Amino acid sequence: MKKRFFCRFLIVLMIFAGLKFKSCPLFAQDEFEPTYPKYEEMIKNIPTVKELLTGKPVDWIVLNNDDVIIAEPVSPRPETLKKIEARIAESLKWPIPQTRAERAEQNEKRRLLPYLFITLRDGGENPERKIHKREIREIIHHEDLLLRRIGILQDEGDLALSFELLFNLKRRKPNWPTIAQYENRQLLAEGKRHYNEKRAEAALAVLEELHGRNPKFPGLKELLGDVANRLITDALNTNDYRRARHYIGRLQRREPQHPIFIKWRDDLSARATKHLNAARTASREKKHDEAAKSVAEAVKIWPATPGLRGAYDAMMRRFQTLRVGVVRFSSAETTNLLSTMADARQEYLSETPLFEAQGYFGSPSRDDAIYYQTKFFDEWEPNDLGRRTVFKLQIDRPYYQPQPVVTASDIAKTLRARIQPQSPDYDERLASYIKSFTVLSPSQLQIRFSRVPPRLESLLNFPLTMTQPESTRSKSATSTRSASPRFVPYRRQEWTENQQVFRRFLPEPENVPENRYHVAQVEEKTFDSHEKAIQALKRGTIHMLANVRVWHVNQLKKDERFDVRQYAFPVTHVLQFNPESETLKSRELRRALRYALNREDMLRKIALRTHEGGDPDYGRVVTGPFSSQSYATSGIVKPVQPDIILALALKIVVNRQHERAHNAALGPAMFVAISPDGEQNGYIPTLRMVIPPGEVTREVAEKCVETWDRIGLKVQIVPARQAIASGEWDIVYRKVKMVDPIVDLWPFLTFENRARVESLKHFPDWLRQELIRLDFARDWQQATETLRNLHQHLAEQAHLLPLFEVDDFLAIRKTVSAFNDSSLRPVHTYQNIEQWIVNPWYPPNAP
Amino acid sequence: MIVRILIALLLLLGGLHFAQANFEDVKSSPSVRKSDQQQDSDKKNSSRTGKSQPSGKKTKTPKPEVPLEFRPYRVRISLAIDWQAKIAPRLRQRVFADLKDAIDRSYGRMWTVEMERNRWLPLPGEVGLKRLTGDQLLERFRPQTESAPVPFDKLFVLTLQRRGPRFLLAGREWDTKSRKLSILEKTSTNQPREVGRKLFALLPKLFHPVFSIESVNGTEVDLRLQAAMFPAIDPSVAQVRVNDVITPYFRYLDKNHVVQKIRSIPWTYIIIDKVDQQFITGSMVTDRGGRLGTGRRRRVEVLGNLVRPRFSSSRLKMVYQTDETKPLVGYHINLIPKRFYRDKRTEPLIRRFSGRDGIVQIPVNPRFPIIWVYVYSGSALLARVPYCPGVSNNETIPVPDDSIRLAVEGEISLLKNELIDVVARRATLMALAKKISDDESIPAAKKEMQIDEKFAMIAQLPGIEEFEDKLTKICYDAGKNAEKLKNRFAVRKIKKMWEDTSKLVAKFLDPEPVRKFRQELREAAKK
Repeated sequence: MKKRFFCRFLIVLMIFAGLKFKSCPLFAQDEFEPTYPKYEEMIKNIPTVKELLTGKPVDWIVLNNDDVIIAEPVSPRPETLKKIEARIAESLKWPIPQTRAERAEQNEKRRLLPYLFITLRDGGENPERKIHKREIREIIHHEDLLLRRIGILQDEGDLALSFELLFNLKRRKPNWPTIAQYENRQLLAEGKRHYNEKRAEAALAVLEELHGRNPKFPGLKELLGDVANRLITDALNTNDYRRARHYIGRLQRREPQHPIFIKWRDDLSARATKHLNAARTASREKKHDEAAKSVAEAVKIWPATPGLRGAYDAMMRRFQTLRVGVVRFSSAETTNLLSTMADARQEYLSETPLFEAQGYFGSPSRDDAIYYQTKFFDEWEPNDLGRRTVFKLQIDRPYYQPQPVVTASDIAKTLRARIQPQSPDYDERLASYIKSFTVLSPSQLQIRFSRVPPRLESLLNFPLTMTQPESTRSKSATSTRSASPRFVPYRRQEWTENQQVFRRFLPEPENVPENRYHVAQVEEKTFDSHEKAIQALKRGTIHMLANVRVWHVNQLKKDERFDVRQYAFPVTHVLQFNPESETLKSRELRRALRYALNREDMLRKIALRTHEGGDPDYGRVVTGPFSSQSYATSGIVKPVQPDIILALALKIVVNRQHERAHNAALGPAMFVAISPDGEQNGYIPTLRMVIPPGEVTREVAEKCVETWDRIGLKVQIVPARQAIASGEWDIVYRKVKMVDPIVDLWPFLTFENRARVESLKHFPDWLRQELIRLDFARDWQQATETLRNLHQHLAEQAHLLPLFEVDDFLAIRKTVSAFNDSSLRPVHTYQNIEQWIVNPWYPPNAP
Repeated sequence: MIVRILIALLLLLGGLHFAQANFEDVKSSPSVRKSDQQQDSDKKNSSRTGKSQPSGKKTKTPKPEVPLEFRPYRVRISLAIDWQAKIAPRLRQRVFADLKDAIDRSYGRMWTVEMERNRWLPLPGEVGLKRLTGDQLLERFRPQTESAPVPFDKLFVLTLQRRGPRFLLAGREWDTKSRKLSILEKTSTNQPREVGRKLFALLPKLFHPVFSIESVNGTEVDLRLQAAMFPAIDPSVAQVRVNDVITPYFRYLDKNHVVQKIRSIPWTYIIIDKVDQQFITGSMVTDRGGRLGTGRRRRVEVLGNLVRPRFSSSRLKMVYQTDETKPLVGYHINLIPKRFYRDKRTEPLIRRFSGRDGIVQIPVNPRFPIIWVYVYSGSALLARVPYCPGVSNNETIPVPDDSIRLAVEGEISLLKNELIDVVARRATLMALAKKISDDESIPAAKKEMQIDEKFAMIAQLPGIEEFEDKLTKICYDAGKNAEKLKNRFAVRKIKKMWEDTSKLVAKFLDPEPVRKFRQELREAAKK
């Protein structure tokens, strides 16, 4: 013990002596110890990025005398000195050695504990050194040097480089003690930069991140306020309250007491209150539409306004608006050739047929396979074996009916307009059935038929509207039907480029309980894409999507908020040939076109997108222009398998036919001069194809063109409007939903909306006579038999080229009570809309 | 009053003088008038032979026959005046007087006119005239005895109505020989003094001169015209002109020369070529020859009525021969204005398409009174008939039912599709075999195997026998069905289609070229 004490005393003496005599270095074992740079000099010259990244990593050991020793990275690190201290403290807990040797060993270890062992960067042959910890003031590690350089870069505004270095360091040393501080600095600097560069949205995102790391980071609160203020102001300048509320909400979530938040909250609340007051005034004056509009505006501005929620519920129940997302509107320029689902939607809102199809039972053997409903008749009874029917009209109109009571004389007027050949509404088919009609009383009408229709309801499936005569028609009117506006259930009120509004013709009465009101207005909004429409549905901007892409269906079905309904009829994609096209009169050419196409492949890859999660069960290859489940589908007809070799052979046959025709017409000498336009195309002229608008149709059409090109048939997609106007087209791509093929097939094949014999002029005799036979069928059985024969012959003659059918869906928010019968799939988008109820939905994300 | 009596006396005297003058001209006794009246029923002599025939039990002595040309028309004008029109007696008398005056001035001796106030027409007006039928008139004017004559050749039933200041005038003609009622003609005036003149203006439109067809030689026809020897005083109401059209008909008489049946001759017209007072010749235009016959049979009269277009167009309705209630919908119809169907077309072809009621509109062509109507089903000609448009508003053509032929054509068309497929596949396989044969990179053994494979595929394709079986099945059943329905048109067409398709099958599915080709490939492989 005495010895140990003596030793320690000697050591202390020696140290003391060493301090006293400066010429004797305390730590150096080498007599040629170099002089070290001073800290003040070094700190001014922090290594550059290049040096730091490409050079060997070094640590700076700053001694108490301000000397800086540059050494290779020391260990342990980081916080080396603290760790040495901890190591020393730990050594006191070491177990007491049992033997002398152990004691010596422990002593030796303990002696070395305060020393930091370093390797000098330029230490020559013996670079190792040890330095006692008390000689060291600070150790600046390589990482700290990097961070200091990052700090300099941040100060200099080179944020890209600083971020890169920071990122690099973070990846390597994620837990380095001071790295977070520099990251925060980086974020603030980034936020400032975005803000200065007018990218407030990005600035806000960055600052929010910084706020999440350190809410009290110096300068953060002020900058956050400035950024949010700018964003809110910009949003309000464009009247985008939703966006403004979004930013206010973000600011509130970070800084609930921020003066900018308080300022805008008060401002918007005041604005909303103003609208709310206006809504209350309008409501008292029974101007329910204005009230609903004002209160909706108030909710849009600031949903958290006191008293707004109750008023909103009441007013929105009184005047209900259904907002529907669509991709396109019906166009006035749309022809029957390329009519779209949008046309059908608009037609349904603006016309009420005497009988309308409401569903399909899917049983082809029954004559009531199509379920028809009427809003005009209470009962109708066929007499005299169906040759005479007395229709009894509804005397009392349900309060929700958007049209006035219709009298027998109104229907008689429509019938007269439809059976008079001079009338623009003349319907040849109807006229051939109706012998006479008599108005028995204001509520009774008797129709005598010259022949019994197979299905009365499908014959009287026309609206109570009449076309205006040419002379009285307004030039600006887009629709030709308007002579009887009182029979229009919903009128188009407004129409802009991306929104159209339909308003109920007769409003519901005042004395109805609040929860018994129905849809008063339908607002259709267009979106650039289906994806954006789905986004709007999820946000609550719209209540309903009229058509959902099949590859989005399953995703929406999983969402509890929505009801995804399948339409009764799928959309059938058909390629139809121009009956006046001389080239396509060749059956061989039509068959060549058919054999070339791989329809299954196009269905899966383009229409269903099975590779993107589309359900393969939502589409099928079809053999006719109607649904595969339709009563018109003949079981004998099987889908044609693609056979490119046969297609090529048939094309060669057609080419030879055309060659012969050329030679015969021009003579051999001229033929040489006027040669065909290329080896590939041969003598067959380039065919022109028109397609309806739509992403899928275009892709399918392009695929068809590409496939036909492989067998040497040139087909060109031409602009639809001009081609249809001039009649210069050969193939048309049509999307069709054929509800009742007995009555719909003829107009479909002739590209018209009515069955006119004159329109069959250019058709081959067999087809013409079969269509006429179908039209003159005596009963349902004969009609369906004729129809199935017709299906078979259409397929065999390749008169048209059915591609596939794709199931159609709509998605509707469950706050809307629509489609009373859940088992029956709807035929129309707005089926019985006058009975729908839109329950008010308050935006949940109000700040 | 005195003036009226004087006028009546003058008229009476004038009438007597006029009647006398007529009969003096034809050099017959006053009893001729009676003889003329009995012409229809008595018919003692046929117009061709001129031999006398016993007219009935009561007739004892044969009476001389007055040739048709010398026989004026016995015309009765029956004017019905609506009691609601409140026509003053003076005006009524004036109307009768004016009408009589105008007839005398225009027709002269061609007509012997008898005028009466009609009190039997239930509705004296346009409606009443429309409802009038030939049978009603025949019933009214049927003589007591079968052999007794109808007391006139032509009956003009005229009506006079008043709507406010306007007088509505209408009329129809009934020809006692053809027993046909003409279409209704109407006019109107505001001037009471013009009523008589306007009524007269209806008569030339209603009047259908009567012809007797004397002989037929090919298409040339000799005709006789009633009262040809008494040309009209006013040339504008002349009975006949060149290019006028006559519709012939047969009158079948019994042994007492009482008319038993009148049969019109469908789709047959005579166009007047030459008129030289009583010598009239024309050309017969008909859908098929021998309609009028070349010789004359006893107790059959071949007469004709001149018809003039009254409408700018006519509606021609096409129906099925087997079921005339069923219209022919959606058929192509070509209209060619020409005289005989063998004539070359000089006018542009008019294309029509039958509507849902089977009707097509046929316009009148002033240069060609006859238009040939061709009804097509695809390339098959269903009917080819001449038609004189504008004479009547509506006409019906029965056309053979083409549905059986059309069905067969459709089936054969499908069979041809299959044939094309087979030929195309065979050609493709042969081309592939040739390609393999020419490919020198393929070892000989493998090449042979691959070529054999291609020819085995060719052998598996349907051959002549299969196609012939299908063809027989299609055509045999349909042919039998057509025979059963006595549809010779369909039988003929089906037979032709069968033969043509059979030839096509034999030509394109001949196994010989394939065999030769196989042989060639084998020889090439050996080399």
